[in-house]
Amino acid sequence: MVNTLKEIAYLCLIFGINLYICSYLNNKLIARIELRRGYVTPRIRGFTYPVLKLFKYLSKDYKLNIWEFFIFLFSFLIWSIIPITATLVIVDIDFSLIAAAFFYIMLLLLNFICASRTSYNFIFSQVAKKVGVLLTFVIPVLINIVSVILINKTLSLKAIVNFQYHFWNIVYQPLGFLIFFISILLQLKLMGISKRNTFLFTENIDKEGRGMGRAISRFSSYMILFFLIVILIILYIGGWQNIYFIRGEIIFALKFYVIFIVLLLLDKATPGLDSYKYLIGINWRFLVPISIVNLILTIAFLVLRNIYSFI
Amino acid sequence: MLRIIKNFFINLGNLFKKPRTVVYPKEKIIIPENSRGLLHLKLDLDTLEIICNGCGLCEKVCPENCINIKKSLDDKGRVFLEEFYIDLNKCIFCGSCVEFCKIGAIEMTYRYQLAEYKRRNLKFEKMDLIKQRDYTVRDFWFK
Repeated sequence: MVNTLKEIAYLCLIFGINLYICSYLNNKLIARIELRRGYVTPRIRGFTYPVLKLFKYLSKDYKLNIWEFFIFLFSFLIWSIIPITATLVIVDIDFSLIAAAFFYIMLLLLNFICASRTSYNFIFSQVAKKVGVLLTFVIPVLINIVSVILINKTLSLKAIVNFQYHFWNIVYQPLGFLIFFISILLQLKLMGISKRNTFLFTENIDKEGRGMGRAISRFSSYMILFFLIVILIILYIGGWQNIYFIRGEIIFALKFYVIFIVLLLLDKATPGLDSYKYLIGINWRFLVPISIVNLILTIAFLVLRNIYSFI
Repeated sequence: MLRIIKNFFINLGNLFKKPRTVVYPKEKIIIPENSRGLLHLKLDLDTLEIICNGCGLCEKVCPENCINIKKSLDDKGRVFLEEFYIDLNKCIFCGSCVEFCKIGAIEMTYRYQLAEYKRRNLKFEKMDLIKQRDYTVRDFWFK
């Protein structure tokens, strides 16, 4: 019991710090890319800005509804089954990958339900469209996860990381990695984490009130992004495996921030992709077919190796 | 695809460049040369009289009709400038008045921070325009 509480405390601390660093990086890097300054508060005071922003949200009166509370809860629940390191996992189960996917889809659906409470039809249709498109991006991700499961023959995330002791899964599944990465990028675009994005996942709350609800939906969109990046690292690029003498935790954090920064840079490098038409087109014409080809290739490889022993 | 890669490296390069914006008013930059600000009525340095003879050409060429000149005759029957009004609510700082002035009696200063709460404060008279001499030198923003 004490250990579990300790782990929960560690996780909260890690994600609190991570949220702070990522929101700061998000603002600062995007500003720097546009050759302007980030948080206008000059010099050292700029570091406190994300915290001040949180207080700004809290200062406005807002009544939380039950669905927002569930979104908040699920944003935490996602992390209960995902191992951040070999030991830091609250609920250690054998089918953690399936449970994680379930929680992720639930979080998206909860956002949809929360949006449907609005009395303004336009907002509901917009948010419904966004969540619908987001859910279609899950399809190539799920197909690629199946490919990874076939290669590793396990549903446990810990076992998948242990499997990559010699070679990372990216060696076996380069196409899968590419598709997963592009899918995350497109989801990042849809969630509107970078400020200048025309898509706003939290459109209902933007228009119908601010405060705690806005903070929670922002938090949930960050958590979805963190979740996707962590799953990408665990599935394809070795998770917390040590590299020489550097500890696995540091390697994990480095991978996380490198991917986050590359995603932000790519988000800014593709300003033309700000239309549903393009995003849906990319998904159905590019991501889904290639992920199916990847799955077929993986199955063919396994059949040739295990049944006919050709390879 | 190539365009995306090119944009990616441009963005990456921008991370290490100096930002082009400043945190105003805490940071300052020098005003660019030939910037157009409020008008200045020049004085003849020998006699300390206004060079402008009140011919009214600037009033005619002004596209926004923001200049209003009053002229009268002195004892010797010469035309002289009695009053020179400019309404900055209308002025677009095009610089036509300076360009068309034959005797070079007016010039544009670098003063352009002219925000006011009341419209009447943006109507300048002859004496106000003579006093703008300080702003004819390029200086920092914060002045």
